[in-house]
Amino acid sequence: MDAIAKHIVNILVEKFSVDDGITAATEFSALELDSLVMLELSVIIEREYGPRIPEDELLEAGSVNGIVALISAGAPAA
Amino acid sequence: MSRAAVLTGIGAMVPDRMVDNDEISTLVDTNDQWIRTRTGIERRYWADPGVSTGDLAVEAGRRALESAGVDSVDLVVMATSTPDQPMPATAPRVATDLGLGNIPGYDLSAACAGFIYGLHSATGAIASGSCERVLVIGADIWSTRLDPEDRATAIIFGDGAGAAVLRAGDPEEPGAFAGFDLGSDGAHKDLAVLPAGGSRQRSRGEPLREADNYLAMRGKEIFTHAVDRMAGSSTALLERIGWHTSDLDWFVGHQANARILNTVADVMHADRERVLLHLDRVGNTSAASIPLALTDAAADGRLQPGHRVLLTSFGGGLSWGSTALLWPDVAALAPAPRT
Repeated sequence: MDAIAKHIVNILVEKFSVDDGITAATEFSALELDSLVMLELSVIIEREYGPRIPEDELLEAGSVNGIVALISAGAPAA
Repeated sequence: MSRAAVLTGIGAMVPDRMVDNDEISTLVDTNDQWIRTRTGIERRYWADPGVSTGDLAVEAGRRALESAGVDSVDLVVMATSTPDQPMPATAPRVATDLGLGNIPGYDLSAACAGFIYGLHSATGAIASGSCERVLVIGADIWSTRLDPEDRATAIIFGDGAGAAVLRAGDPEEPGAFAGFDLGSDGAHKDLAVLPAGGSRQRSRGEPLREADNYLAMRGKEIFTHAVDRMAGSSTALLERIGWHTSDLDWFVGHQANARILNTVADVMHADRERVLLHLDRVGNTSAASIPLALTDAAADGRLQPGHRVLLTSFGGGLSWGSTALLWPDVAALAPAPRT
């Protein structure tokens, strides 16, 4: 697994109590994420990787792999 | 040797009436589980009809003076966004009710960051040599300013007051405030607003609308700004005073939302176990939140003399501020029931 993907999965499991069966490919729609998780993740990603990706774009990315693609693109989707 | 401001007494209180999440659920469309998971709040206390912010401030001030073992100060700084009225300030009345004589007293408006701003003002007054002792109070009653149909605010706020006595002392002694980092950003002034009572609302030349009486807050934007500013301010302060995040025994942030505080800890790479939480039992008490949390933790022994403590807060304005101290040996009474 990509290092960034692994890190984000770890954050979701350890900090946000997401089911530890999650992988980078798990669809967010299959998880019970409350409305604040993506907001929290958005702040942490900005601090660690640079771009501020709004929480609705993180959710729309669909999975951790999708988020990694956004981070790699370096900026939020238009 | 330079003069430092040293914490020498602390006290806090909440009103008698406890409002749990189940009662809140009768006012807005929510439930206990939703409130707990989104905010960490389990209950809060609301002032009874007829009780003003100044009334709460007097009691908190009395407790802080008692904790310090003094019956006089040279200045009262009262941080509040919900004063007894727009004019006159509430501080003179608080000073009079506490029997402090004709000392100067003024209100300070910096929303939830008000108490740190108050500590900063008091520290300046002491450092300049104009005051030997200062009473700083943070107090707010938001319960009467909440739109019962607005879940963003109705579930969060509690009423309360907290106070500290600062005295002139040595920069090296426990209780000395090691430094301050304050900031504001008026570009985001609309994220948390209470229009009623202000000149802008009056200048519209229109009658007061019902909504003008209520605090309006854009929660999600506040969330990200709060994390950014508290983490940024804390980091800047620690760097300035030569402390490291790993040195901290307690990270005491404004008690608005447990998930904001945990996220601040995460981005600072601090241990979440070091985050002092009190909001579960009192909600967001605005300017009172930091002294309430400190008083509670000092009373139950979590805060021990010699602990390295970072205080950081954030509120409407936007306004934010941080300070740090080695916790001194001060007496404290629990401000609210534990169960």
